[in-house]
Amino acid sequence: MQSEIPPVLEITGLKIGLLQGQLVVDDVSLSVGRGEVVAVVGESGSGKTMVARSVLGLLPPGLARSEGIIRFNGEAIQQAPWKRMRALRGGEIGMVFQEPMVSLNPAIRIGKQMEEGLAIHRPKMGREERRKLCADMLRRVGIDDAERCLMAFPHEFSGGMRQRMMLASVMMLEPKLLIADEPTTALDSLTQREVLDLMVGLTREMGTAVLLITHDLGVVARYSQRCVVLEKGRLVESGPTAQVIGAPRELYTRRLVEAIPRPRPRDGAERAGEVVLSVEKLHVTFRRRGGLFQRATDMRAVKGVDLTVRAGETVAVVGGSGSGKTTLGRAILRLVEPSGGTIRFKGMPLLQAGRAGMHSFRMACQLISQDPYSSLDPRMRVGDIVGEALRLLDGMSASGKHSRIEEALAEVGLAGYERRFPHQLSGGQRQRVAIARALIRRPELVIADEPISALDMTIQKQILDLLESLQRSHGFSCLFISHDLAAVRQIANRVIVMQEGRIVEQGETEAVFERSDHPYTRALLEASPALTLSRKAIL
Amino acid sequence: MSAFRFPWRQANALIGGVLLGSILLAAAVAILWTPFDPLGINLRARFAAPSWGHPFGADEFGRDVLSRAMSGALTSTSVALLTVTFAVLIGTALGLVTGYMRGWTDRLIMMVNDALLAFPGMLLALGLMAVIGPNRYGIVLALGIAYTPSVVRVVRGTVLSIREREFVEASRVLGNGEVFTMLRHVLPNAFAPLAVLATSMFGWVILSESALSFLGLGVPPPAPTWGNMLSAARPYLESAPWLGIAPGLCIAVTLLGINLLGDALRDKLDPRMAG
Repeated sequence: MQSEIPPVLEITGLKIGLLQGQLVVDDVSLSVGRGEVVAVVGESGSGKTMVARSVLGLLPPGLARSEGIIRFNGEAIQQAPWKRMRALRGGEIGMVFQEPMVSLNPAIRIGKQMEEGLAIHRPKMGREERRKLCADMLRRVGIDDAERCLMAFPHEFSGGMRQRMMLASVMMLEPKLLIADEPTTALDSLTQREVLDLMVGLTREMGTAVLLITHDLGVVARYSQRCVVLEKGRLVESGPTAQVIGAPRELYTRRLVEAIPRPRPRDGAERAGEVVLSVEKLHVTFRRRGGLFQRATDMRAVKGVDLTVRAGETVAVVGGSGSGKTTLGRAILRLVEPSGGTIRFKGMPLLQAGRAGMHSFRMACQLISQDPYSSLDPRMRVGDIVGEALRLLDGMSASGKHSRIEEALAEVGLAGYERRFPHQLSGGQRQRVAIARALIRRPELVIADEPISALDMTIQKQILDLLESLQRSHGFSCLFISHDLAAVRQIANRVIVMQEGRIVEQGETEAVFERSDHPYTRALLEASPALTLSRKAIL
Repeated sequence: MSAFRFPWRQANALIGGVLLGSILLAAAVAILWTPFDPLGINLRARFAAPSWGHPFGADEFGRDVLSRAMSGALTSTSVALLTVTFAVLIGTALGLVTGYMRGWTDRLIMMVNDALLAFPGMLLALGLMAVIGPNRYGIVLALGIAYTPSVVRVVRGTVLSIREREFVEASRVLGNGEVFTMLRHVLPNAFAPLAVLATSMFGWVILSESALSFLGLGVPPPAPTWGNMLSAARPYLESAPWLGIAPGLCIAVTLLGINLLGDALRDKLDPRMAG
């Protein structure tokens, strides 16, 4: 008889490798005590997801655990027979995945999917009882019309709602351990906060331990008691969260902490420039096609927005998903047709502009888009991608173009990459290529639509710093669309807060961040984990 | 570790090239010389079994099967090549325009296209042949029209997904015209499925041409094609099985060669496959 209660999960000396022998996870040990929240932090490629998956024996094909012991409540489960593993999965160890949009089966009603777990792990339970339990659980995660929800299909709900449902169906089985793999990365910050609060609340009530996989130090600081930092499969540092983040011992951890964007004093004098972009009463309406028996309805994405951007300044547009901020950016670029209002670029009304007017606007206004994986033509070399922007410039010799391309790539730190293809680059490098392409014609206005949200923390910082320094040397104006308030605080002179297609507040960055009393703005600010963290770090 | 791996991709291209090359060589040689006159009737050699004189035997009129297969190679491969080229050119152009432009152009073209698709391809070709009359350009036109709708479908589907990618948007923001964007960014990225379709279509066309010849609507006799040789061999399959071997072997070798080459070409043109 052991006198000491073993931890819920104990991993010692875990090694996971490709079958050819290359290690993806190299000697990682961690433990999760009863009712504890332990975070595993790392950037992409750090092996954090593999650690989580190995607990349930769900490693992708080609990867295998080569060494190490995984104990669950004292029982070594790394080689558990299939039948035991099946009982563990879901029944005692629950897992919530990253993508709520794809982790529910689109062809099966919510109720049916929730019942699946019960049918396996509580075979004696009757149908009525199962139904009732599901409905109760949905109410506990804050879904009020639970009965209707059980009969609905996943596509009828937003990402946040789906993640609540996932959480409900996992927690319904009262597992001893919950593994949450980036559970809120795909959600905007407001929803992220709600879902995480809910998750931590539920697990505390039920006494479930949580292994939280994340790349977001803000989330780590807010929700976990202890954390483990991984870099390239190796354990860098572990310990109580407050200590690891507050006083990191290792260089890598320090770099992660430093990557959290911080507000910095900006001199206001630099932007007394002329108005580059002015938007008045802009409306964008999408026609939503009706189904067989439904009438076509209008979806008003942007409802009467006014804004101005002056030369050399950065204006941030923030808001949750569905606030219309992306549509606003696309409408200004005329990628979607506005249904009303005026857009003036340096005084020229864009919506009435002819061919020549549009051409000069295109030459002077560029876009940096969110997803660097899809914004570069996979069949073109980096040099050609960047150089394509020069095609429409008159009077440039071939050698002039070539040196301009070299210069633009050198500016973004990619000198000598002309001959590479996009698939040979990392996410951060691709975004640099996209930036070089946007800036090579020296535009006067750049619209950056969530330019960093698809990137790792340390890369986010590099890209933000790059944008800032390029702006300083070239002096373009920037409309920075983002839901990442910490980044906005670092880069923006002014902030515009959007909610449901309308501007609810705008002002100088510091004023909005420090003194706003609009409830939506306050909610956004409080939901941003990195922001709270950076504030704490400053105090 | 990769240094020792056998270069399968190059091997594929090599084997495919050799197979197809030998067929084309035979076709070229047949223009100048064949062992016997492919149309020359020799009643003494009727149903001659394979021998040194007639390596693949002789048919019911005593014509040398090898000579006929060689001179048929020219007809069969050129008909197939022209048909595939026709269908791919027209189909790609239409698919690109409908997929990229959407709207009424799309609806109109796709309506006609779907109507054509609803016909069995063979039946459509038969009908067209009946109108045009049996000659080799008629076959190219009829089969080309019959195969175009499936190219349109495939290209349109690919284009529909590519046009939503952000690099197409980026091209628009750069100020590139629609036609430039379409040709520079959309078309090259639609190439992979097109290459697969075109190579497999080459096989279907050779078979369809045989079927048309079989029904008496292909290249008119006595000119040999692999298809009409096969169909002529059918009644004698039990008594003179060698009649089908040469044309059948030719079709099989050509298809294998084309498919291997097509795969190699598709990989070669995709930068992601180049390591």
